Amino acid sequence: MINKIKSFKKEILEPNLIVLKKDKTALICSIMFIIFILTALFAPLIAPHGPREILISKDGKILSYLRPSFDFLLGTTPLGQDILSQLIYGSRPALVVGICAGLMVATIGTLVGLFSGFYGGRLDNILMWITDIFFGIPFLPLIILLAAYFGASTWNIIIAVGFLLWRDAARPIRSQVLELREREFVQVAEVAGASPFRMIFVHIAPNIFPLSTLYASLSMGWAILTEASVSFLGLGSSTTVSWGYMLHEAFQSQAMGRGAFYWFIPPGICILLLVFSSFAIGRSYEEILIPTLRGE
Amino acid sequence: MNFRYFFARTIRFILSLYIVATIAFFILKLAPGSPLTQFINPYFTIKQVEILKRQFGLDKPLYIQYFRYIVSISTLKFGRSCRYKQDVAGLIADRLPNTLLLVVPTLFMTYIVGVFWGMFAAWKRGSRFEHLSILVVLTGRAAPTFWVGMMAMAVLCFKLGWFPSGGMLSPGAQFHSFWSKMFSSDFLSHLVVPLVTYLFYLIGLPFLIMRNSMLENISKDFITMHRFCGLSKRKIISRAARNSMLPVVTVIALGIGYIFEGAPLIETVFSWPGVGLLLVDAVTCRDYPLAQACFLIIAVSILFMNLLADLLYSILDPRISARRRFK
Repeated sequence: MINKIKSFKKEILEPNLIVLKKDKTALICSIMFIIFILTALFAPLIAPHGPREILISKDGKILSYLRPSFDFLLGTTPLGQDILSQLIYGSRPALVVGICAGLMVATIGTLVGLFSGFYGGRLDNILMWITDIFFGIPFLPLIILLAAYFGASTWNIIIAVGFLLWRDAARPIRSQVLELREREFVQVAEVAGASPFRMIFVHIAPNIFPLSTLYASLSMGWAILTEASVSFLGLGSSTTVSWGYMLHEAFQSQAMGRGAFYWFIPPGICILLLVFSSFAIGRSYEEILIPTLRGE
Repeated sequence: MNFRYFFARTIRFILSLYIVATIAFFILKLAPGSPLTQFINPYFTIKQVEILKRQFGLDKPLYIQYFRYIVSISTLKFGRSCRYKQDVAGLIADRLPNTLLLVVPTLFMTYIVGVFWGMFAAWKRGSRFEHLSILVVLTGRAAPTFWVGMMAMAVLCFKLGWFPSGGMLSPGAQFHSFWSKMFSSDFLSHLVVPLVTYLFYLIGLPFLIMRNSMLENISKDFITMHRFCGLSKRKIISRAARNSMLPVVTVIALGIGYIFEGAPLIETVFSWPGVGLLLVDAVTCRDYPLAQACFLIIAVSILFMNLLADLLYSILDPRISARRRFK
């Protein structure tokens, strides 16, 4: 057991820490990411108001169209809701969608890549053919269609993203598996009588792990963008306040024409930072994995 | 031109088309609720509902419905739109050229700008210019397009008033011909802001790929050789660039996919009357036949342009079709 923990530390934890030490962008992005997670976890404690709470002043008027002030740092919406609170609560759906969809993409993509690369032959042909077909499916339009037919909910978006985006991960993982399959340690395991499953999951899969992580983090970014896009189009879940939903409301009530920059800039910045950090974390992994990309 | 490759690729195109159409069919069938909800009101008797079902062929078993669906969409019969009370095919035929008017110029601009920018970034490797370029490009990739569009619109159209805010032409504008419309100042001024927004989002792919392949080529022997021979900087760059272009060409197909996928968002923000906006409108109004047809048209456009791109490379670089054959 201790040995296993040690090998985990050596094989998985340490390379990751090296990424952070070597790359300042990755470090900053990881810190940013952690801040977002903490915000999402403690949203009710941080946010001054509920995300949908309609604020009413003492003399019974709805506090709508307020510009940023000390009481309402980012102003209020036409419905009298506090924009800052909406922004804080919006980190929740974004992270849930990102993390769940990222895990789903990495899992499906890795499995397809592993089986396809390991068994080769007909299974490989079929799986890669399916992957090709998935590349032909227009991603966002299909999600719009799904949102329309199945009703808009955060989980539908997660599942849709997971079932479509694994295509990006499958091919690179497969070619990596093809390479590993020819390596000596795998061949030795085969000669020693390891079952195919053992070879796949004990000998090959750990070496694929960094690549899977890369695709998990990349597709996390895509998933967050997709959720925001779908909500912006007004097809998102109507019960959760997400950043895309905020932008939808801002767009619908002509915030651009009124110059209400305080309303529509912050949600976009949040999406940008979160997606950027997940891309950048993935990218610095890629640079460590493929050293020729490093501009040294 | 390799005939066998051409044939195999076309077959794959048709198969992909068929599968996408099948997916669209089963999404509709698996979805909760009946497609008839648009027509049925609560006062209908059971008998009337059944007549309606028979009219739409919904009383038949699934495989017959599926077969009829495939036959009708392959003859471009998409049915009637519930909202516009018009033939769906006609509606789409009106809107598709508008989307192409946005997409095609954007595609050209993106690849021209991306290639040159990536080339210079690689040449100035390690400089502040390169780092800044990468940061800008990655920001464009990570920022939601519709949000960038909203910002551009708020600043350029509303605050500064340089460009019209949304739409494709001013109301009441009339032109003699297609070309006079395309080069009219009215159309071009409407095109600028969506195009720049779109370009900012799409530039990442050509830029990064051009930069990487340029970096690879610059360190190769033939460039060092040119340097020794004392060739001018411009000539060296152009020779390295020529060899770095191929990977960029091979990702055009991917770029086409992105550009059509982004269409619903860009068109919504700028109220550009294209297929993407039609899809969003149809979905919002629960106009299922129209939504399905828009989805299929977008899918067909992507697949068809991918086919075209693939066939073009096989002419440009015979190795591609050969590699496929021997794999």
